[in-house]
Amino acid sequence: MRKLTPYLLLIPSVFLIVVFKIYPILLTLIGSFLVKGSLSLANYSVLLKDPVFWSSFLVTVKFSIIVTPVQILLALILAFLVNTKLKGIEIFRTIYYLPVVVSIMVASMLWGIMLNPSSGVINSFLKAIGIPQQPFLTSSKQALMCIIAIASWKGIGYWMMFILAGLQNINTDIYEASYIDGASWWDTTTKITIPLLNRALIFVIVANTIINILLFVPMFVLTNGGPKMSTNGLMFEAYKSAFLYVDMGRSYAIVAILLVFISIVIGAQMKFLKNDY
Amino acid sequence: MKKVAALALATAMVMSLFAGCGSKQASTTSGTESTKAPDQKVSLNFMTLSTHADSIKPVVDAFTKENPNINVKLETYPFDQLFQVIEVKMGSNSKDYDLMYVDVPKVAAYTERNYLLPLDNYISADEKKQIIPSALEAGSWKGKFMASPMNTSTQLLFYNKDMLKAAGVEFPSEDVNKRLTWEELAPLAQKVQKANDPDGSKGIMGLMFDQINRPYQVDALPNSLGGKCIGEDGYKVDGVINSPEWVKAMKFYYDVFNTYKIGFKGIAATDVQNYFYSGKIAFLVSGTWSVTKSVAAKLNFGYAPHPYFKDGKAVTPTGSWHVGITKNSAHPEEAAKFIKFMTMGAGNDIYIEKHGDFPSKVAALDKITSDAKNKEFPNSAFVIAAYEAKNTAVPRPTTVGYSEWETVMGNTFEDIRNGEDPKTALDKAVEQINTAFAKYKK
Repeated sequence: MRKLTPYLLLIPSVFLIVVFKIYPILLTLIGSFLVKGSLSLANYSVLLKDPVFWSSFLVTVKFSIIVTPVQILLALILAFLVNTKLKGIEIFRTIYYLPVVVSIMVASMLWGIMLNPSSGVINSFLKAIGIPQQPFLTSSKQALMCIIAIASWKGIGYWMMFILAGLQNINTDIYEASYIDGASWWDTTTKITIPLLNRALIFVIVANTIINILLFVPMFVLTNGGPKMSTNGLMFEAYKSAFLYVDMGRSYAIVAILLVFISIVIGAQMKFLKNDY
Repeated sequence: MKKVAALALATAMVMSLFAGCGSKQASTTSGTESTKAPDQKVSLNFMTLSTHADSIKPVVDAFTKENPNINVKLETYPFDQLFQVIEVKMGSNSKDYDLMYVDVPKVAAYTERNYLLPLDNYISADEKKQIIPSALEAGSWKGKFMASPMNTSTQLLFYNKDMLKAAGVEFPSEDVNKRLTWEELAPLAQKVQKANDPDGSKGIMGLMFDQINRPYQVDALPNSLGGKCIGEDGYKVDGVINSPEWVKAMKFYYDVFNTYKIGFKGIAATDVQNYFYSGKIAFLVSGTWSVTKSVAAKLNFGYAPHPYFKDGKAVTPTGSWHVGITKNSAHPEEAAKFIKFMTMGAGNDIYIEKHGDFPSKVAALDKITSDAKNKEFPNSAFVIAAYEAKNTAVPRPTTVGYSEWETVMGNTFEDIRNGEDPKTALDKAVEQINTAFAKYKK
């Protein structure tokens, strides 16, 4: 009986994982190899020759390479800043966390209104201080950067909380000891804080990478993958294939490739970060 | 004791999961049984557009009054989502719906994908004669009548009288023989914009298209110059949508937003109308619905026939919403009864009146031209519309791949609005459409 209990307790969550994660993944993998009911590699061979797929792939890579380091660095800085014993610091923590509780749909729409090139408040502000008006989401050079900014505004507070929890987990005795030994702020940060933050950081880096590679809503709400396909990432291309082009095979194949891509990236991160548990 | 409690809890949780599934199954079974009983109330599920809900509800009420045994339930979706829900639901063989809205260019695709039940078994040839031939043909594919039209549509050039007055610009004529060319309209729009918003601080624009970036509206530009939307075979796009006519038409579209700077960038089709009703747009190319809505907004407005290119001919957008029976409907008879009421019967008059739409019923169209009250503002707009529907309307392209065509073209129009070179953008569109069409040739 004693041996059985833990497994019984696991059943509900395993059941949910199987239904909502494993089953769709299998469905996707199988579907990606099916063309008109028979096994085939056609979905992949068509895809790999398709310039639209490769441009979407590049957009996804470009987006991830910029957004993940930016978000983690800013989250780290914020976490350090709010990790001080200051009267009323909770207010700041709350303010930085606020964007997280706004739905990404609503956040995208709000930013869309503010970034509107002809009637948006941001351009009015730029004009008032003498900077020329910007096209923002309507320019292929700025749209991806705008989405990076929106995603970061929305995400940083969330990741900050994990890092903050990690920081507060570090025993203050260690800092006191290093202080007595005469360690500088830089030494304390790089040799004590960051290594001891390892666990929190690994989680933040991995989870952040996945979420950003799969980011979809701002492209869906604001740019439709445009201008000139500059925000047409793989996730959005998969969505278009399935629901607008009604080509499920293509969509399955894109998602399968995305899955493999994420696994490779995460595997590399784990190895690089010397995960010891 | 603890162990037992934990075990009980775990078992209860697991059981509740299965219990949940079980009870759901039970209810569905009983549901199908009850629908089979002949004397019981039949319920029809109707997948429709959220913006039309208020105009369809009175139709449903009137129908239920006549047919107390048939209950029609509306399930409404926003414009963009409706098409996706249709693909997901119908593509997965759903039995949840009996009736669905069909955007007319999608009739071919839905028929080929086997989403719809042909209406010929339920609607007689005589009954079909109540509909104008162009709408009837648009709702048919390969000789079968698949979806019956609720209405059709056409576009006019609306303008803000106060703004034109302030700029000293003469109101354009309502006479279809004196319609403006795009070449004449652009400088007028520039002048009005400049007079009303000299430094650009009020956010006023000279010229906008209501259904911005939607082929429904934009196709009329290349069509006016003689450009076709798709090849004879229903698939060819190279040399068709990047032809010199298309490039010239799209150059105008480009100029409106980038050279003359008289149109808004970054505003979606769902929002454009409201900018006109709130006095931020001087000229708006829009459907007859803008008559009702401008009156409601207490706007001092006027209208003129749809413009055309100097070297081309007058062409106007057309086509609108049709209603079809889903292939899995358990009550096709009752669904057909509702379709007749809504597209041919008294229900259609209620809808048209309430929504300010343009009818596809022969009788209703005749009434528009003969009715004396339609000689005056604002109803005279419908007389212009009736002329356009009969003489200048060009439907959207007929192809099984309309959904793909529309998606790629919509993004292409948006890129051109944002400053992409028209020829480059159209060439890229050809490439993308060919990729998307590859599956039909597999």
